[in-house]
Amino acid sequence: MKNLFALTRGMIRMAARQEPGSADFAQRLVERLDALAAAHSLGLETEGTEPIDLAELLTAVLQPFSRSSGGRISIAGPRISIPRRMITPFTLTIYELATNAFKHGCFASSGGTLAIDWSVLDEGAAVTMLELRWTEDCGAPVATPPDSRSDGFGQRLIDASVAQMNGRRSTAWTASGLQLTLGLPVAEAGER
Amino acid sequence: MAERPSEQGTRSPQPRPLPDGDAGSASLAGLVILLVEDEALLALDLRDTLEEAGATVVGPIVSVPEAVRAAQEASFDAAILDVDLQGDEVFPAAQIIAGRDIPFLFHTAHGEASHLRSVFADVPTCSKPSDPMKLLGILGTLIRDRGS
Repeated sequence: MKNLFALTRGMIRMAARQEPGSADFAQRLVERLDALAAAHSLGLETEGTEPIDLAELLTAVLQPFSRSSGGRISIAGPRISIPRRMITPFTLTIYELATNAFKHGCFASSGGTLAIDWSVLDEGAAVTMLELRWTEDCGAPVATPPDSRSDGFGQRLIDASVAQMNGRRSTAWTASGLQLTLGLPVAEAGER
Repeated sequence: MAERPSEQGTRSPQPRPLPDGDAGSASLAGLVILLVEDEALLALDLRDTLEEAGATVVGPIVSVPEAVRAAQEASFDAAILDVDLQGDEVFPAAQIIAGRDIPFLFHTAHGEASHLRSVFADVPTCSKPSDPMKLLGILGTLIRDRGS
């Protein structure tokens, strides 16, 4: 798996060298691929089908963003694991949200913060729900209209990924920035 | 949730030009395709490719119960069925579609599954990773063969 990611990465970069003007495109593609590789490498470090620790997964995916944000990202919540089949859609969702925050949101200018926190909700006995909150605080009133924030692809990728996880998403805009909540079923008593 | 095509489901949408001049073999103008695929990225790519070829897409559908419902209730000309949907297999939906005599193909990462060999021996199987344009070509052939 790791080798396949490395190969794909190399192939993209080699191909980009031959195509004038594709460097930015290739770089964005490689960064997204790296996030996915970092997430999946967590799965490789443990045996079999063990679920993946949420905080570890978030830390891995957000690592490139954390470096450039100077400690303005906080991650907090009770210890919980998510099933391996959710690694890819979860990673793609978080990566797109973080990319948007850097391109258009609170990290586009200095002073903003991002808080990710979660709680575990037991909806009856059948399904354990993870409620994850993504709260951006720009430190000043924001004027960004919600619609212009994300390009079409990013938004569609988030929606499709949340659907893949059988999850739901709600987005709200407060005076200080984006407030997004993901509801994800993380453990079911027997697959449907 | 799948958007169901209206009664005029086969009404032709405005066909958009294809990217690579492969229009002849892959045009699906005016056709309705049921897309069952739970991997978000692949689903988006396939839907765009189908729409670029002029098709209307029902889906993408991500679970077996939804696939079964669409197989029973939606009207479509052909279907692309991902075999493994979040750990479940798509075969109940495939049975229904076969029973309605609508052509379909399997799109799977494990093409050697015994069920595919025995029960659905006549159904084309495309192994992932696959070129969406090739998938479209096979779909077009299936639909044309059925129509003749």
